Amino acid sequence: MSLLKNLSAAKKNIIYNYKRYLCFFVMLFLIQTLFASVLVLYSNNNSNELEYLEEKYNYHLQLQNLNDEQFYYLLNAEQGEVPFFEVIKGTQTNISGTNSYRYDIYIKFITSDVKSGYESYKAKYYPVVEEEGDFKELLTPLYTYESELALNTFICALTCLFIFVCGCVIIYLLDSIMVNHYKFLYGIYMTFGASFKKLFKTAFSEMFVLSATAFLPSQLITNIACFFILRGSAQSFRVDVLSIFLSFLLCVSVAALPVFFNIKSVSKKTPLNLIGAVDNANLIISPRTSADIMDYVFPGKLEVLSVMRFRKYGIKLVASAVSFAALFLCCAYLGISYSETLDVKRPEYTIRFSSNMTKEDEKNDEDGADMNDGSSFMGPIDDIFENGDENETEPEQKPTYDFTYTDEVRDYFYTFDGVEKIIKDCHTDAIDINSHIKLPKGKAKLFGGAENENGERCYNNVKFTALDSEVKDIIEYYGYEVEGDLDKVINDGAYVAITYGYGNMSKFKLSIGDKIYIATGSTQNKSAQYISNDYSYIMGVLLESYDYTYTEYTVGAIIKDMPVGEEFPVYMNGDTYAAVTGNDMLFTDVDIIIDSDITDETYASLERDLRHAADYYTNMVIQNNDYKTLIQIEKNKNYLNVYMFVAAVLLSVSPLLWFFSQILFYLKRRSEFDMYFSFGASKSKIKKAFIIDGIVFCIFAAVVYTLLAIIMSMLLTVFLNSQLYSASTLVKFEYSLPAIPYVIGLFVTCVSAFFSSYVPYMTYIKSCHPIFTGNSFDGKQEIISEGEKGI
Amino acid sequence: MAKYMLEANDIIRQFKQYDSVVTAVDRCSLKVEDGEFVAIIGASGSGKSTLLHILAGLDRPQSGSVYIRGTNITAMSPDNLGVFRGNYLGIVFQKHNLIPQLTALENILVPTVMCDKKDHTFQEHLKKLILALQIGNRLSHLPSELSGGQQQRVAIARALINRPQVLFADEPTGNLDRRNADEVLSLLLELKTMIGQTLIMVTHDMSIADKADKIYMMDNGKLFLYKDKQGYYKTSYELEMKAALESERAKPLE
Repeated sequence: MSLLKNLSAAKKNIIYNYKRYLCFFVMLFLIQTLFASVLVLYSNNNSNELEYLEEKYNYHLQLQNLNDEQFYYLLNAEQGEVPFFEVIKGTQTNISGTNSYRYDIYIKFITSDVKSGYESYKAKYYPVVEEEGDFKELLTPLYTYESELALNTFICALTCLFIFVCGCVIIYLLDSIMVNHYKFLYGIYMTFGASFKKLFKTAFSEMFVLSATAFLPSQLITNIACFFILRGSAQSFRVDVLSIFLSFLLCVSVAALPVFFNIKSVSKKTPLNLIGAVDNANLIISPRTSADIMDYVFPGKLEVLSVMRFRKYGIKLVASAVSFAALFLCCAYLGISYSETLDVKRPEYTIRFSSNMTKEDEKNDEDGADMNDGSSFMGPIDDIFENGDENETEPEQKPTYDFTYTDEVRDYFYTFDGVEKIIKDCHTDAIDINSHIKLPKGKAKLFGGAENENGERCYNNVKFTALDSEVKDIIEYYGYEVEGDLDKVINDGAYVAITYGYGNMSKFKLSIGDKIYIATGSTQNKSAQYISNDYSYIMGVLLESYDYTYTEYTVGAIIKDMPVGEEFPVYMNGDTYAAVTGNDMLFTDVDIIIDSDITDETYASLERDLRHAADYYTNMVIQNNDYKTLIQIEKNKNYLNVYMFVAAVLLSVSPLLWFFSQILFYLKRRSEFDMYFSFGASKSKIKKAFIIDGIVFCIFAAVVYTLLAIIMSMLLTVFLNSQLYSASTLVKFEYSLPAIPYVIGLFVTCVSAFFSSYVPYMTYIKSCHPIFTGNSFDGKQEIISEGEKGI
Repeated sequence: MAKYMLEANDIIRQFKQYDSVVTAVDRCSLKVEDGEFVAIIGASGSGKSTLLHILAGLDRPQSGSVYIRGTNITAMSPDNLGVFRGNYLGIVFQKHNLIPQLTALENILVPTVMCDKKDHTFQEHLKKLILALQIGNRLSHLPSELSGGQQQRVAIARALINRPQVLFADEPTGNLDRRNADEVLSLLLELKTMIGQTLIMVTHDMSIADKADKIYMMDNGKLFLYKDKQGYYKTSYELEMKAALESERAKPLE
């Protein structure tokens, strides 16, 4: 009953003082809209993702290259009373050039928890299947959906937390502005018995009513916006009741928490303190500054001085309002960066060749055998199976080859439809061969690596990487900026190419022609023991335990904007690579980047082609990274629009703070302007005073916004560069102030700063006594003169 | 049951003004019996309003204690003190301090709302107050639509609506003309008798103070008994004051 009474009283109070609460309503509406957007999108994205995955893969596990025994064992597996998997389909493919067949089987776990189904399979069937021979096991994104779901939930929770914190800060700012303005009221209430509990109950009821009032419009707008966002990427949309309810609950919490702290701080003060605080004293650092006003001309210098007088208020206002404009910029920048990461070329397939190839074997490959040898499935139960290939052909008798990646293989792979680029790699980790590079003193920045006794920095997080013209072509394909000449490195073994640093951070101060030293030999002088995985720590231990001999190399090229993880490459030609690592330049790792607009048919055909190639080259293992699917799922979520929506909401807070704060501030200064009028100031002078305030705020806000925008986007770039590589998204962001968001933020800031001063002037003049403004007299004169004209 | 309705011991209240410390209330003590009318007189700036605010629990002293009906209000938490003030104390300010956006009636009812009083507990009392204060035809008016005297009557009604045991009045007639001041004072005394409460009033008007059971005089932060029920103590006051003013002032406290 008491709650209902409070709510009813709060409702009346809000309706009566709607102007005072309008700002809170708008803010709570925005906060609730944000919460609802995140939650509704989260729930819709999850269900859409699941739908997409189920449509694409109706199985969790694919077992490839099974032999007859393995295949039939799984097909006829006795699962007991409660089965935990079912075989969705199977394919049979003839191994090129042989009479043998290989089988693929597609399994769907039918337990409520997919993971437990997989574990049961692992425990019961895997050991038997493994015993029967080699095969390959691939878990599909449908299986990893649940772990992805956990990650999505975490990100959603993190986003909600961010909105929660931002919301609390905004409501706290607004509420403290209001509490500050209505201290007298609180003082009177407390004089006559109001306790913290009472005040909070009242304030909370008001916030609850405001949140409830904002509920319908915010949910409506959110659901409509989400509908269009999802429709933009051809996704389906469902109304999620739980998200709607949760967003309301979160909004109420955001409203309650800051009010709790504000009321707590008010209730700690004595009523007298609050009753007496109705002047501007709480806004001024030192009222004594005002003593100089008589020396100044009104409004010019005097109003500038007034801005100085109220500098505590001004700084608070500009800092809080401008930070939201800067947050808008950051959010927009994040959105742009995020969409950039989706456009990064990722290898859809990774192929690994074992390196026991011989040139003779290669020569034996006479005719570039027909890889499209077809496949088919048959047998007693073929009604539940699909064919591996519709174009069935008779198996040919062909030898198998133990092979590695060569130019011929590359050219052959390029004949497959859908292949855009083949990326080959041959590298040796320095740490594996107890090697490292050493930079001369002054050529390394602080942090990272370990310093030897001569003050030279040594790094063992190096990948000695072979460079030939094809690798150079790959570097050019990615468009990395190269300083120096890579050809020199390819042609002259005394030269190497290096990156700017690692971890996407600039670590070296090298220039072309500088010398670097590679440890090519070592003598142990004491035992080296370490338990850490940290490169720098291990390097330090090794430097103490070994004496190294170094070979000098010249920096022939520096690769500037290449994304680099924790390990960085040092490129060298084949001979140098062999000399440094002791290994031949064999390209055992090959990534295949596919066309971005590849059709499903071409994709399937490419996979078939690669599988046939793998049949042919027995030491070739293909890994499908499923990036196409994963990126498509990400794109379906349309996060760029979500970021932009959040950014727009953050930006809208800025004018809200400007106007709310300034209107209340000038209300307090009304009597001051009345006095100016009383002592002879004209309307135009008063107007000028407000305009001066507006201009000063505008300039101040623009400068602060620009500084904040530069600093925050710089920090964001550093953060993204340092964090994204660890999230295995090898992207490097170059810092640049995002022009359009910056200009929008600047425009909104300047306009808000100026008009939040000018609008109170218009309100003041409207409600000012006509004896000061002469408004009504002017009007009368106008009518009389019109009348006279008529006569 | 406490012997005194109000007992204040060694109250010190100081304010920091720029680099110096002003002692507004300097080791003041007083005792007020149940139903007494006590006036505190003194020149402007002598510290009498500050003392009254401390006695009414509107401000906190740096040192000393205030007991009301045996309860130490200086040791109370702000919340408990708020509830205590609402239920047991009434305050009338010199500047009325009515809430401008509330009507006269709403202003009067503020303490009942703050203390969650049920309607039936104060309806009768409200009628009596309205009748006694003659503000029945002004109840729906905003404070800005009332005269100074009417505003002060509304403020008195507000202070008395919860039937407080002690009523504090800070120069309640200070902003009124003589006729209005006399009216308000006689109303206050009438209501005091009607409700049977203790009245502590700050005034600089000797003609009003004369009506009190006890008069305390405040000078430069020090408090002296000027008159009690037996009569005036001018001689002893002068001696006491001389001695007190010559004594050491309270040192700045933390």
